[in-house]
Amino acid sequence: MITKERIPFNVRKEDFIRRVRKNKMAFVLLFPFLSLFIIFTVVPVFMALFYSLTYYNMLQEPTFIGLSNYTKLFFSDDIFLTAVKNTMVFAVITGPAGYMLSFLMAWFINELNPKVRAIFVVMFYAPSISGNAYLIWKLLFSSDSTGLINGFLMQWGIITTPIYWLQDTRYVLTILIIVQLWMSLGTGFLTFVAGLQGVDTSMYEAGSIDGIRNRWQELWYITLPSMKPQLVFGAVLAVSGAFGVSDISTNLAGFPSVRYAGHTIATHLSDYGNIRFEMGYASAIATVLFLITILCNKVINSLLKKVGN
Amino acid sequence: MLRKIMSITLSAALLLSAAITASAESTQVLGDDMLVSFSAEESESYEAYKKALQDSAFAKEEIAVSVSGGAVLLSEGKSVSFDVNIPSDAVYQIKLTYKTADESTQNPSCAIRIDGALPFDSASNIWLSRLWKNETEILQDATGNDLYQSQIQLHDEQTEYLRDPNGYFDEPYMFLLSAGAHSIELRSTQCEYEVTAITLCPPRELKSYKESLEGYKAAGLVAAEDIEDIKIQAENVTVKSSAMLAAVADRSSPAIEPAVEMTTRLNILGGGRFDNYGQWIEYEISDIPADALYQLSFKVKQNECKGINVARNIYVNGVIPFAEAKNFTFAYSNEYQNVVFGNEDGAYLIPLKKGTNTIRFEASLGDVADICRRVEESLEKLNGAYREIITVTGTTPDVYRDYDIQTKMPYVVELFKTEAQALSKIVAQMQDYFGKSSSFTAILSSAILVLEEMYDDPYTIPENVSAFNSNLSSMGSMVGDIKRTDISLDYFMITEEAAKLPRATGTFFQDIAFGFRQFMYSFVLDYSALGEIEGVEETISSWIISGRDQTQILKQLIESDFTPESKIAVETKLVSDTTTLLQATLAGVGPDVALNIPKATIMNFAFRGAVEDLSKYPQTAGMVSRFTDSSMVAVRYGDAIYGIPQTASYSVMFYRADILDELNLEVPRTWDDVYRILPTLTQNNMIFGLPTLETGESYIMLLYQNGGKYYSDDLKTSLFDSEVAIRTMKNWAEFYSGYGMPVSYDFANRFASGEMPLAVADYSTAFNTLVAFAPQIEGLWGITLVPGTVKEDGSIDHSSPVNVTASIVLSDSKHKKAAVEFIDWWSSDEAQINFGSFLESLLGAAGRYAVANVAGLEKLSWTKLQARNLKLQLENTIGVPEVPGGYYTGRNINNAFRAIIDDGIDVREAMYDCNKQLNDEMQYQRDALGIK
Repeated sequence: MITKERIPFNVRKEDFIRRVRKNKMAFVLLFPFLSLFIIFTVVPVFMALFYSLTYYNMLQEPTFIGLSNYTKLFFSDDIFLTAVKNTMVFAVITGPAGYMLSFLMAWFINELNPKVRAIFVVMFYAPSISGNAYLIWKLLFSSDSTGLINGFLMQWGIITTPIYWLQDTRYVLTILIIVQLWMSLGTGFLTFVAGLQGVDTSMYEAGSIDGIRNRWQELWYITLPSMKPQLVFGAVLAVSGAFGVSDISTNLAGFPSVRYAGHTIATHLSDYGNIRFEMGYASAIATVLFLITILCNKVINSLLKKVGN
Repeated sequence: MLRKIMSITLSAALLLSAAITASAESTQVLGDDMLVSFSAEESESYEAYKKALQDSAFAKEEIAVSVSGGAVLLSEGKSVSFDVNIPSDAVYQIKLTYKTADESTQNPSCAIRIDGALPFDSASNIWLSRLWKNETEILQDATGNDLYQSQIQLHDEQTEYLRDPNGYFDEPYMFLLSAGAHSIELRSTQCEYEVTAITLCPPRELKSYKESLEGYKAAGLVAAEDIEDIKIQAENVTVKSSAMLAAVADRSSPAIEPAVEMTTRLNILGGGRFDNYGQWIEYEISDIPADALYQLSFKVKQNECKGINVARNIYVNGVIPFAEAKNFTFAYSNEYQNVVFGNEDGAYLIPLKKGTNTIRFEASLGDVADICRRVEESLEKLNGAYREIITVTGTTPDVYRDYDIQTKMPYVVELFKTEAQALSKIVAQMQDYFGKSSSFTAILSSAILVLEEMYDDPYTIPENVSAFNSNLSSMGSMVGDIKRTDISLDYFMITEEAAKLPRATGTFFQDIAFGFRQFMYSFVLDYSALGEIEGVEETISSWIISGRDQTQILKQLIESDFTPESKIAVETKLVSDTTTLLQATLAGVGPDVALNIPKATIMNFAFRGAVEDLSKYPQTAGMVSRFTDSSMVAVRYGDAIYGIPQTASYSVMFYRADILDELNLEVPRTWDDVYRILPTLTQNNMIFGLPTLETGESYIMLLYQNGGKYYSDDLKTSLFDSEVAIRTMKNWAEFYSGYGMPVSYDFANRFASGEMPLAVADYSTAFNTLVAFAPQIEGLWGITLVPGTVKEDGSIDHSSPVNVTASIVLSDSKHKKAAVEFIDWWSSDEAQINFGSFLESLLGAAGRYAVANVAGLEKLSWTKLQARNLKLQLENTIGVPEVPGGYYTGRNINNAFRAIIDDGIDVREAMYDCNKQLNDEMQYQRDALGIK
């Protein structure tokens, strides 16, 4: 078992070097990952921070313009506000719902015998591993009168003219949320399945001796606390997934969606980055999105600390 | 509506009687001439005609009639008359001797009238063939890969029987001629060709192989013995009927000759191209050792048509030697196999003479012909029934309502019964012919189920309408599919009887070794590599956003035409989209030239100084003159020219001539006409297709026709708050909200089913889709100018926006002069025409290229009528300039449109809002980019 050694902040420089010397092997082993992580994750974050303070159109040199990207973003970009609204609605519904759905499904499936369980895991996990599988929804919600849902509704006499599902502002966001929920049984779900199996069964025995009365108590006092790492991991994924939605919106509702009905912060970002070539402004949006995601993760982690208490 | 064209009657000499008449008038082009006519001339079907002449005697003697003066040139719509004297009532077949006279790839066709009347309906459209050959042997590029062969057309004299273009009737058309004088009029309905003579000949009856063999033996021919096997590689075809019948590569097996793992070898003929009725390939075989009887065998693969047999007619020295050589069939197989021309009892030996002989294989339909004809017959009746039903129920009937179809149209219900029975018989026959059920019989069976249900319980008709419709369209495509009789031919052999044939497939270990080597080579081969070319002074790199075949052809053209003359080598790479180009430019590793770049991207790059302004180069004026002004608008900004157009696509109107004729409607020329016919269409549950902004640009079309504009002349502001823009938006939105035009629809499906007999659509994509996916309506539709707006002076404005892609030179390039020279060559008439025709010979009509070069448009394989309409529309196109922030325009107009039709927001308010947002964005972008 590896014990966590927290390096105190007040450790002196020599101390640090000495420790590096001492744990040379560990640093050598860490090096490949650390270098990639720094080059491809840490550096870009700081680059985005820098570019967010410039006007940069990708083909000419960036020019420093201070905070005006941010002032434009918060005070004069109506579409950004639409995007924030959509993203919030989206995240508030699909984040928690998707998270709980994943956990419940994993919990139910855990009760099945291993062979049947394997089949169900594959079934639930399939939508999120098969890339753009959600394009199937495009067929269902096709706007033509021959689209599947329109076709059935018209056959049953519920509607007489086709509904433009993915072009009508009234339906777009709802449909996107449904599709996102369908997709949410992803990696988080898989870690829950693994976490549930990792719970030590002797704990349940001990629990029942100690007076656990029903399955809910068992869940709350034993199962959940013993799989906290997986819960945190799943939560991080659910939150970043919900805030970062853009592919689904682009592919289903079109880009840009009709009257920005399916516009999210992430699609707003790619609008500026890919179409308008305004990397500076896009970086500002990215920074804001980054901060929102971090904040949400903090909130969720503190909520998760209450599990089992 | 019948075309009223005066006919040319040219003097024709009758060989036997020498009776001569002569008169000549020139053809007048009338307004109606711009449209495809749907012949409403009443005449019976060929089937009925043929039945009626069953008891008549066959003619005994041939009658040949030549055109006086040697030959007459028939261009589209012109005709020639022959006077003949028939000795006694008899049945004849007609042979035509002609030379093709234009460079198109489309089939020439003619209509034949006897004494001024069509003898039967299909006589109005009889196809003739063309002659093609490979221009050169198969050549290799510097890296050793085979190059596609360029094709040239031969204008040699050829003699062909007039026969059914669909292949439903095996023998040439029979004509019954009574004793006495007749005038036979031949009119060109498509393409231009020179007619020298017609021959009326007695129908030929083929002897069976057994009888023929006795004849050969009597003539002293014996089976060849002790001869060396002669192997003819299929790719080395001598003459052929279509440019598409060129060598292609098959890398699937080591047994294909020649097979090389490392490079591409064009080693077979077929592979999806030798699949149309009437296509043929002919080989000249020069080294036959003696007059004798030989065995013929093929190494073939027939892996396209599961469940049916594919047939070929075999001609030896210009004739089909015996009945068995007609419709010789090849069964389905996944791999190449040896097929000996013969039956279970042994080979059919063919007579060849010492020295040079020709052998021709012609695609025929065989047993499928009868099936297709009957399915099509049913389909026609059922389609009529469908259209009749939907006049009562609409395409999406209310299932809870009783439409009372059984009393309103009892004959329709009766028709369902008879057709269900007819289709069942066809299914039984197919199972009988081909031994098992297939996807084709499944289509028919499902149609039978629906028909039976609708017949047994007519109350289910409304709920079955859409199933019925989809059954009809799958039956339609089934007829198309079943007629595609593809085979791939590696080689064929002429040997002595029962000779031992080489293995047709590799052994297990050969296959594995071959596959493994191919895989390993894939790591080391660089497909974009240029080999050593002598005398090259400069090398530039060029990227193209396109397909693989297009890139390959471009490379070939550069190597054969451009590099030798200019001494500039061009490294060509295929990239998937403009994002790659942006990233490469950003990283400083971009190309010198980029081809086929969408106009919006060009200007986005240009505003940021990444594209070279071409206006200062001496060649530019010459290049610009090759295009319409409208195509140039989008690549200009002020005086600068940032690109040279490559493709130009624009909307035209597609119409179904047959349906409009049925409804007694004329093709609308103006929007007023459209308003006039909309009620009739609606009554018949049909619709007019007008694309919205997402798929087309009909708002721009209407706006410019009414004298409006997108942007002010200085391109600083948008003008969507102008009175004309608002009024146009109101009218346009009304088409969807008031007249029920669908906002989104599948054009090809609805046009083919007849629900949408009129539609405005982008010409290149819609044309290619219809040719590829809707063969069942071939000849029933046409293209014409988009509806126009009548101006105050009475003229009609047919403006429609044009969308271009263009070639650019990047500012970072260090070889700008060479790059401009390359673009000058690439945009030239010659290069564009070569590219377009090469592409079409490779991909067929579905690969038609939307060339921006005006001279190029006429030279591609459009019919005269199509070319004229397309050119006229191109001349009537308008270009919308690109401005900084222009990506905002389409999106804002679309948002305004949606707000109006979905939420009922006031038009004026929506347009003001749109205009304000757009202006703000344009201003912002101009400031940011520092454009004054």
